[in-house]
Order: sequence, then structure tokens, then C-alpha cells
Amino acid sequence: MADTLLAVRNLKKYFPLRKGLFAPRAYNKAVDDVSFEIPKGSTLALVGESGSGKSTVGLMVLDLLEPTGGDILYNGQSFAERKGKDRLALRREMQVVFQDPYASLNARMNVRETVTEGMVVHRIGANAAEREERAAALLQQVGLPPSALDRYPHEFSGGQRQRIAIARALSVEPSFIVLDEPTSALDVSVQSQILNLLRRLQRDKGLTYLFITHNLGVVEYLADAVAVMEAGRIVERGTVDEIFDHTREEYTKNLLRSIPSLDPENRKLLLNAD
Amino acid sequence: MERIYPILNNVIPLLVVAVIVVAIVRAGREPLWKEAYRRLGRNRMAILALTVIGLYGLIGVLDSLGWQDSPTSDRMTIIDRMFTNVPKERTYSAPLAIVTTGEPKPHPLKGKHLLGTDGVGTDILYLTLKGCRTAMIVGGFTSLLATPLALLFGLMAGYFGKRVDDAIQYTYTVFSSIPDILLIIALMLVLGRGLFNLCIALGITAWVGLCRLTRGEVLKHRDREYVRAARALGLSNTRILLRHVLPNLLPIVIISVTLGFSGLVLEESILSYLGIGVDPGTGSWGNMIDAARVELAREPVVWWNLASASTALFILVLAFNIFGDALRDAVDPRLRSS
Amino acid sequence: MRCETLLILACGVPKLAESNSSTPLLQVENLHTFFDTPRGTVRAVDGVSFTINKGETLAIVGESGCGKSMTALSLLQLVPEPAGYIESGRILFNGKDLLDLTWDQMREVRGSDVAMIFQEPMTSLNPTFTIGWQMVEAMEIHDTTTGQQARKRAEELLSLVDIGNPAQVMRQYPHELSGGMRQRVMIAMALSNSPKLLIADEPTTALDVTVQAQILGLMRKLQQEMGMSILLITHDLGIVAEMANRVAVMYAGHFVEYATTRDLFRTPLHPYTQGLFASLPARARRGQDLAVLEGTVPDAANWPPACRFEPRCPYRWDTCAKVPPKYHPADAVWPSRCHLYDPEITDRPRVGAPRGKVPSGSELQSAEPKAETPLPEQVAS
Repeated sequence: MADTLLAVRNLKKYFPLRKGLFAPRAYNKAVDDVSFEIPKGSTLALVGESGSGKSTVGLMVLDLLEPTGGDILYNGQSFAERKGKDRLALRREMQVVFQDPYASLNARMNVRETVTEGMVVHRIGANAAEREERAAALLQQVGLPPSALDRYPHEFSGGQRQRIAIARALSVEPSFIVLDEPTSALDVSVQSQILNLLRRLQRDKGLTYLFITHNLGVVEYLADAVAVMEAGRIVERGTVDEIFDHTREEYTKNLLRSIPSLDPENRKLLLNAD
Repeated sequence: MERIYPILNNVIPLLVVAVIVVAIVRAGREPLWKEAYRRLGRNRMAILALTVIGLYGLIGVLDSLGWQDSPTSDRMTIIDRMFTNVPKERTYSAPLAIVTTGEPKPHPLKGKHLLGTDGVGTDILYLTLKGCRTAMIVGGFTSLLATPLALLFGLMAGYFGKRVDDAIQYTYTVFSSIPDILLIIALMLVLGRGLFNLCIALGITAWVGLCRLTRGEVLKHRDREYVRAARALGLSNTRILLRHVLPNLLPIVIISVTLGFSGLVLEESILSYLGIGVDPGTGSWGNMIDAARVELAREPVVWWNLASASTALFILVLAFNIFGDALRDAVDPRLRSS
Repeated sequence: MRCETLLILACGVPKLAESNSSTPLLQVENLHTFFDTPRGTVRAVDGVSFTINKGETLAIVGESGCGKSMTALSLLQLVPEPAGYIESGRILFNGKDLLDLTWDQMREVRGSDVAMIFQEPMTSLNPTFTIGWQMVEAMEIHDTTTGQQARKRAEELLSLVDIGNPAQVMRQYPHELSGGMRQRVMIAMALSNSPKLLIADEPTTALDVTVQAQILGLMRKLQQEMGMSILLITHDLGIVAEMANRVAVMYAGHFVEYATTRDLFRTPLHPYTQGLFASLPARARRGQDLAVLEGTVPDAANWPPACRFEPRCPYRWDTCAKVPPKYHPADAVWPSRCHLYDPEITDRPRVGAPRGKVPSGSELQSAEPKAETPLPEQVAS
């Protein structure tokens, strides 16, 4: 059993709704006591509908959002214990790929600048020439030619932009990547290209993924473990087979029932109309 | 030290022009501006407006470069030299007239004056041209003062939020609650009249609007995914602000400054008319309009002073507005094909 | 999109003649919709023909840029002007060509005989007016009912679409409702004049999967109750399986396959359709690479001269880049635009052996190793 790379314990995030005189009177409990563990080299899928809090969990795991309560441990060490340079080193370990390929790249920077910026901050590569070499190699790994370095995001399609975003994430040599709906904005045929790429990268580099999605097809294809979220809490957790075949939770059952069947002879949805 | 002034006086305007040209050229490497230039190029009104602005700028530069013929003579600018052949008359004269106006016994004029002469016989065209420099400096230098201030506070307010945001918002709300005119009058009374003092006073009132705009834009971009990704990469806040957020703000800022330029020029003329603008000796359209107060009461009416200054002002403001609008259309992402 | 909604709902009382059961409700023949752009003429819809019978659902499935949304907009002549225009074709609704109608006559059709709902319910509803106001306005424009009666009818429609508290919802504004509720409101407004044909352009793409299931179920229920036909535009094969009687697969401006849903899901003929099925992630494929459709959709201003799918096709050979394939070649049981089914093409290879070569046409491509294209039976689990 591989050891745990990321552990989340009793994570909470409450957003104040109305400001009372001394303290907010009502909270939006976006994340309410969430705990899970991700073993090294595996993929945990965090599944839920909009408003379930899954993206908020992702942001907290990435240290982009301050939790209201709870703890996040990376390699056994808590976030709270890390300060200053340690915190920066942590950033190198954990990277992110977002959903919207159009908003996740800075339109004013070309691909070279986008992919090498992380290297500059973390002092990877001794000089500009070496960084450029690494950038070209990264592009090749994600299936783009070196000529892409001089181009700007708007010259690429959605799928290609996601590849650039993946190359950026890989540029600092992380061990852990949070993927927040990376293929939801892409066409089906492009989605399969990106999923293959992600699988291959995980295999070759031993990456660990936290895959946030509402697309159950992707989950059943890619995930080692699944956690189902509803309204800020995890309602169920297990392997793909456990969740898809043997779930006992009403919420999960409802979710699974709602997936359109791919067999016109065995339609499901009319049963769900009420 | 004394010897440096004349050199500086000539070098600075050229430096300014050089910086502007270099900035425009370097911006053209980016896709956003390349596309914007292309669009502007197809807009004939915009090109015309830009040419007019360029012309005014050229005249302003020509009126800034000058030298002394001998250590004891006055410094004469290029514009001054262009008008040495135009003699000073005794008093008012109408455009293209041959005798003076308003004297019980008209005197013949010593030379031809396209736009007439003023009370002390100075050629109106000459005065109008000298006003260009003042207008350009007022617009340009004020923007130069106000913009970094506004950007700094806008970036901090928008990006850091909470207390920083509150503090900055309180500050500019207070500023904007005081009527600009009163604030400027107060500042000018303290600083005294003069072109650069005026720029400082105008700058202090002008930064508020741009700051609000900047703050709004920063708020828009702060939660965008590319900023989040940059934070995840470990970039420092400063780096994110300067390399990611600021470049995305610049188009809006530039458009705002362009459109604000003409407002500043107008303000100068109003303030000079009120008597708290530039020195009476400095050529400025405001001063000319100020003089018109008395002139319009004369018999016969001396209108050409007012007309020239107003027309020159009007054309410049119109040009800036047209160009500013065209620039905004050219840069607006909604019109860009993605 | 907001003004388009109002346009759709703006109409008068007179309707086109009722159909008898033998004439198809909608018959589109050889529709061409083009756009003039600086890059040239974009042939967004390039020769599309289909029929929809009374009470039936036809799905047009395809990826972004294939022209399916433009096809839907063309039916109601809502193609964005001035750049876009219907170049040629016939749109026969109950036997009458809609393209022959005057603007006013077309307005009468929209909203009464033919209604449309869009993908983004937020922008389709006017944010500054209450739901009730918008629904009543729609009906008043229609001239069917006014005032108190209209409000009552609006409430009835809201309950018809399974909104639990119609009176309260009538008083709310669009931003106060969830995406699913807004889409239900859109459907209610579309139904307010009992249209014969409902055009739904990606109606559930922006919604969660459970809400999607409810909306689709609702549409099926209403279809059965009202005998309505539906033209469903989507990119999701699952929705097609659940909703459609017949399906057209669209690629690069025209149909590449056109069959009943059962037939298509059992044995897709066209390589693109096969590719779509093969790239669906599924449990059966765990641990293997998904079959990948290499490359990207071609540039709409420059469709490839012969077969438009050729640059990405795993079966392609020389003829494919030279001769455009027939829409319904003799060996295909239903239209499938591919030389593989054309007995007149003498040099076609045996079916079932994909070439496996990485296409050279696309400049930026994935360096993924190609996987076999499995048959669709393995997918539906």
C-alpha cells in the first residue's frame, strides 16, 4: 500500500453571508468537515454537482484559499507548520490545471513566457537557454511542437490551450496535481486526447491526481478512488466499483440514475421525470 | 548648473517623444496591440484625429526647443524664430486687416497678421501656437503624475482587499467629495501660479477617477484562473501584480488617459480664465480667453482672440475624443475574434 | 439571445394549416447557410436535408464548429445578420416553404408553430423583469390571452413544467432562480402557444446531471402529452440515446450519418461516428488508452476539398483526398458519407483495418500512440 501523499482532515470553509454587528449572523458552509487521503501515485476523483463545494476543496488543497478550520497534510507535514520558504517549496510540489482553457492562460504572454515563468521563480534551469530547452521538451511531452513557444494563447484551440496549461503545471516538476474539471469545456474527441495524456503522464512520472469533476464517465474511467460530495460534505467514499455498483447512499444512487444510458433499448430517464 | 538648464530644456522634450515612440513600437509586438493598430489603421477618422494631435504635439515640441543667440539675449524657441519677421503692432487689429482697430485714428499695420493682433499688438496666430505647448504639457505632465499614483492605489485596493481596500476607498471618496475646482483653487493659492504647479494641482484631483477604474479592473482579474494558476506556481504578489494583472489593465488605462487628456486641457483654460492657472506671460488659450472678457466689451468687438483660442482648443479636444473612442473600439476584447 | 427569445415569442394568431399524418411536419431540403467574413465565405451549413415527423424527436449531434446550432437558427431564420444568410434550400413546414414567407408571416410562425429554447437560460431571460412579467408579455404579444387570464395561464404552464410554487416564481427575477429552474421557465414560455415543433439547442449543457435528467424527462413527458416534435441539438451521445427517435451526425457543415437511434448505436457506419463512440471514457476501458480522434476540426472558412473528415480518418486512403464521398452510397443501409460503402470506388480497402498512420494534415497534433477503434458494443454498459 503506497503511503499517503495528501491527507485532508476535517476541512471547513465557511463564507460569511450577512455581517452582523460583531460577527456574521449567517454562513454559507461551502465545505463542512471534509476528510480524505490520497495515496501516492493514485487518482482520487472528487465528485459532486455545482454548489457541492468540490472546487473550494481544491482551492484549499492548493493553498489558494484559507480554510476556516481543519488541516491539510502534505507528505505528513501540515500546511500550518510550513512558513516562508517551506511554503514556497510546497508550491512547487502541488500544481493545478483549471477548467476554462480560455481564462487559465494569460492572454498577454506567449507560450514560452507562460511555461518558463514557474522555472524562473523556482530557479529551475541555470539560464534562459536552458529554460527554453526544458520548455520545448515539456511541449513535446504534451504533444505540441516547439514552434508553439512564440505563439499566443488565442492562436490555439481549447484542447491545445489545455495542453499548454498542463505543460505549465509540469514545468516546476510537481508530484501532485489538482485537476478542476480539465475536460468539461472540451469536445468529446479532444477530451479523450487529454485524458490519454493525463494517464500517460501519471504513469511516466508517478504523479498523484486530485480530479474534481461532475462527469461520471471520466470518473469511472480514470479514478482509483471516488469521494462523493453534497452540500459541503462527503456523503460517500470508495473505489469505482464500490460506488458505481454497490452504493447505498440515496444521493449517489440518484446521481448514477441520472447519467443517460448509452443504450437506446434501455432508456432510464423517463423513470426519473418526477 | 546654469549651463545644464538650456541643454536639459532641449533634451527633455526630445526624450519624451522618443519614449513615446519606443513604447508604441514595442507594444506592437503583442497580439493585443498589433490587432488594435491594425483596426485603427482602417479607421480614417482615427488617423485624421491622430494626425491633428501629432501636429499639435509637433508645435509643442518646436516651442520647447530653443536657445540663446548670445549670452545676454533671451532664449528663443523655434516657434519664436519662425515669427521674428512678424512685427509687433501698436494695438488690436482684425485678421488680415491693414489698419489697427479701435483707435480713434487707425494706424497702418507694419505687417500682415492672419488672425489679427491682441491688445499689445502680438500676432494672434503666434499666441495660439504657443498655447499648444501649454496644452500638451498640462495634459501630458498631469497624466504622468496622476497615472502612477492611481495605478498604485488601484492595484493595491483591488488586489489586497479588505483593510487596504477600505483605506484607499475612504481616501479617494474624501477627495472626490470636494469639488475639484475648490480643491484646485486652494492648491494653487498655496503653490502659486505656474504651469508645473498647475499640473500638480490637476494631478491631485485627477487620480481619483482612474484609481476607481483600476480597482474595478483589478477586481475583475484577481479571481481569474490565470491569476490563480500564477499563485499556485508560487509567484510573489508583486510579480503577479506587475507581470500579470497590470498588463491586462493597461489598455483600459491608456484609453482612459487619452480621453482624460482633453478634459485636462479644458480645465487649464477654465482655470487660466479664472486667473488661477498658468502665469499671464505663458502663452495659453486660457489666458487668451481670459483677455477676451474685456475685449468683447470693446467697440468694435474684438472677437478674434477668443475665436482663435476657442477653435484651437475645440479642435484638439475633438481630436482626442475621436481618437480615444476609436482606440477603445480597437482594443475592446469583445470585438476581437478569439 | 434575449432579443431572439422575444422575437420567437412575438407572433399573431393565424397559424399554418394543420398537417395530416402523411406529410412530415418539417422537411428541410438542401439547406445552405453561409457567412461572409474577412477570411472568406464560411459555409456553416453546407447542404443539409432531413425530415421530422409528427410526435418524433430528431437529434443532430456533433462537436463545436460543425454547424448544428446554425442549422437550428436557420429554420427560424434567426441567422445573425448581416454577415450570415441562407444561401439556398427549402424549409417545408406542413408543406409550406418557410423561406417564402414575409417577415411578418415568419414572425407568426415563431413562437406559435415553432418554438426554440437555448443553452444559456440566464442570457435568454431578461434580468430586469420578473418571470411573471416576461411570461405574460409573451402571451400578450401572441394575442392569446391578457391580464388576469394570462397570469393564470402562466401559472398553469409553470406547474406543467414541474415548478412547485408557480405563484412565488412568477414574482421572482431570473437571477434568483437556479439554472434548472430557469430552463424550466424557458420551456414553459416556449410551450405557451402549444408549438408543433420545439427546437432545443443544447438545452442541458449548462446544467448538473441530475437536473439534466429532470429536464429531459420533462421534455419527453410533454412531448407525449402534447404530440409535439422535437429537434434536439446536442454533443452528448447519452442524451441522443435517451431522447431521440432518429439521429443525424454532423461534421464540417453537413451530415455524415443519418439513421434511427437504435441502428446508429448498434452499428455506426461512418468512421467519425465510430470515433465518437470509441472516445467515450467508460469503465470497460480502464487501464487502456481511449481511442483518439487525431487532430482537430477543420477551419470553417476552408473545408477540405474532398472528404472533410479525411485528415483525421483512420481508414483514409488516396481517393479520400481527391473525390468527395457520396452522402448515401449503395452499400450503406442508411446515409453514411464515406467511400468505404461505395461499390463504385474500386480501390477501397477491406473494412475493419484502420491505417494507424498519424495524420499529416493537422499541424499541431498529439503524439499519442493510436489505439484500435473498438466496436460500440463494448461501450454501452
